[in-house]
Amino acid sequence: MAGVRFEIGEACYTPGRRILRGVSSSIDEGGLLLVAGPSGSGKTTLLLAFTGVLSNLLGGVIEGSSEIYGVNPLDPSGFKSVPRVVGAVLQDPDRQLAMPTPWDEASFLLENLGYRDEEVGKAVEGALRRFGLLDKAHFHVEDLSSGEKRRLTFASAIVHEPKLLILDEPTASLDPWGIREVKRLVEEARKGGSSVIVVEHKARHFIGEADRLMVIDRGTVKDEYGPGMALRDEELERLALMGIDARRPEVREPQRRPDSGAVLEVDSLDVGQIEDRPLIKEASFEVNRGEVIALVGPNGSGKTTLLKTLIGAVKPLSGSIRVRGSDILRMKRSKLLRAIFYIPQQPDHLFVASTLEGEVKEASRKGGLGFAEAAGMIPWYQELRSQSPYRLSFGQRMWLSIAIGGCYRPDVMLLDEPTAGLDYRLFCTLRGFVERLREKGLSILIATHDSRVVGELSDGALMIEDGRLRWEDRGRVVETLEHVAGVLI
Amino acid sequence: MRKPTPTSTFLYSLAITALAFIFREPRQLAAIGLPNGLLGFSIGFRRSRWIILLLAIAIWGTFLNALIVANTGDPVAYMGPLEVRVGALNATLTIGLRLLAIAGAALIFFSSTSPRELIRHLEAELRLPKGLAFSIAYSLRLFPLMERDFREIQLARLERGYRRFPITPTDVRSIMLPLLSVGYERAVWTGIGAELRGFALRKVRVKVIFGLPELMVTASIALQIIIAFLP
Repeated sequence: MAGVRFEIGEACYTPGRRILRGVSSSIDEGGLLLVAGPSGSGKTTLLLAFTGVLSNLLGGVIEGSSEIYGVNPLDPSGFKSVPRVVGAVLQDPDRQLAMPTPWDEASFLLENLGYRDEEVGKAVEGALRRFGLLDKAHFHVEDLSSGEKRRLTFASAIVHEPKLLILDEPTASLDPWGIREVKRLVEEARKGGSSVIVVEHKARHFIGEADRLMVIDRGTVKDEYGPGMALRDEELERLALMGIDARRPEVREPQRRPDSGAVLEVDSLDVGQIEDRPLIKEASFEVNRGEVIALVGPNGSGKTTLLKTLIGAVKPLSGSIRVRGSDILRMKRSKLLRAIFYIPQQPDHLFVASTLEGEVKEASRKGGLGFAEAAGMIPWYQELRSQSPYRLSFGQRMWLSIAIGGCYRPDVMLLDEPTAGLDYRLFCTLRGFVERLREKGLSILIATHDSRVVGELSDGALMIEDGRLRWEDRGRVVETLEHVAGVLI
Repeated sequence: MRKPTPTSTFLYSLAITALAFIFREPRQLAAIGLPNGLLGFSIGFRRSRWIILLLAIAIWGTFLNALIVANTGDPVAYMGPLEVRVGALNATLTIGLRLLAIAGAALIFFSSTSPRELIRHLEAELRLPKGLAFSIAYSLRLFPLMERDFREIQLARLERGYRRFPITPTDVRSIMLPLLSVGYERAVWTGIGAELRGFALRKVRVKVIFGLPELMVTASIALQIIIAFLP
């Protein structure tokens, strides 16, 4: 029996600017609907539309109908009942968690729904135990690992046993181990009779489990696949061209360049501190001029700490780091920061101006690269020059931050998870940009757990496992990452 | 004994802040500045070290300002060629104690409550609208996130050849823009998340709690006022 049914004729945030047109589907009890589409295709808007958030909270307009287990979310009085039947897990746990401790977070929904104190206590204890968080029930959420935060968002979403569980890009910031965990949680929810809707551009992670795949682009349904779907190679290729990640990453020929000379040399480096031992012990590796190296490891394995150690922001416990033969610990800070440039995971942190034009001018002035050349790195510069950098799309912001780094003409650029949240089309565009920089002789070290980066962009892979760093065959790394995430294609 | 309710510590910090602006004499301000400063910084140091930094910057700024606008009376010290007079010291002391009292009371409040408790008590006891109570509570959740963002921004600024700490209005603007941009995006989604978790359905049960802990909080305000007016 279909527990959820929606038919969205049209949906828009402001009248006249249509985002969705003619999108409809239904889900049975215990069913899984996978909604795939590139960034900006309207996936999240669809979630906001059929749950009534768009029309009841955000002032949008919807023509159509929606029903979630007998509740009409488009009607203002029905919308108030949506939380009773829906549990939602949003893309980024830091944007969802509103309370300081796991106990408070999991209690929030039940208190809102008017549960009695003793019922709240019992349900919260059960949910936290189920997700392995009971021991940390009164920890501050900032003391939880990213995987634990993700589990907490699940615990808070299912604490009232909703009939529909909605997941918006649940794998965006997760490593393959986290993705496997999400898939297990989805399976558990379905076994408990909940219907599940997953919105995701990395469709390959859920295609194996989904009952139905709906592909949307530019606000309309492009394809729909029913139960027992078996996608042929040409269909996977077509989805990839749309920006949907539906197939295994290729492993391209690497371009390691041992003859071009080592730019970055790391020897017996111990970094970070976890209890009484280093987070990464005795790391030794070299990066040659013009190489792109992927630094792979699970969340919390020390990738970001290693990058920050390489730029001198975190002091190494022991060992040496040399850039073009000079020890970074003896280099002047200003010189060091020009030799290695670190691009943070959140690109906004790097911006200093209020327009794109101002940003490029500042980067050109401080970095020493000519303005025309700096602007030339950004294909959409002319079109968006007067726009605030903070209003660009995530892909554009990431692009801009790498271009800013390029203006400083460093020898080595360190990228921290640059492809998190990027669909396949944006990934390919970014890959082209990174390859251009590489051709100019820039060496790039990318902290990632994205198998696309390892297989399709990098020339070599460094793997962190059990606190040790080692070179690993790229094909094997891709295989491992896909296997851990449970990709079946 | 249970800890005082968030409403009582909230009202306590409001009362101390009001007194800090009412009192004019350094002796009176010392009566509220020293106990609140000592208590606040001893219990809130771990969670809010950044307030100490802000306080130090504010007192230093006050002293520089006092050297320009209130450097009157007898000289008491020399900074190179500059005479520091009793008026500048008095002004710095007065404002420093005022800031110490406010920061200390704020730390006592922040350190003794959690956002969830705060929402419940502000709604149930002070009958604050639930949207306002949630906003105040969520700001407490945002502080650690903003602190983390601030550290990342400092690192990015160093890389780009800018000062780590803001001095000019342009510096302040260029730090605030990314902080607010990231914070705004977070707040929008947290709001949507809260609504999907039934915030609109939240019912407030009015219930006033006043026991021994709250009595002690009230008594401590009275005691500080009495000490301030002792001859």
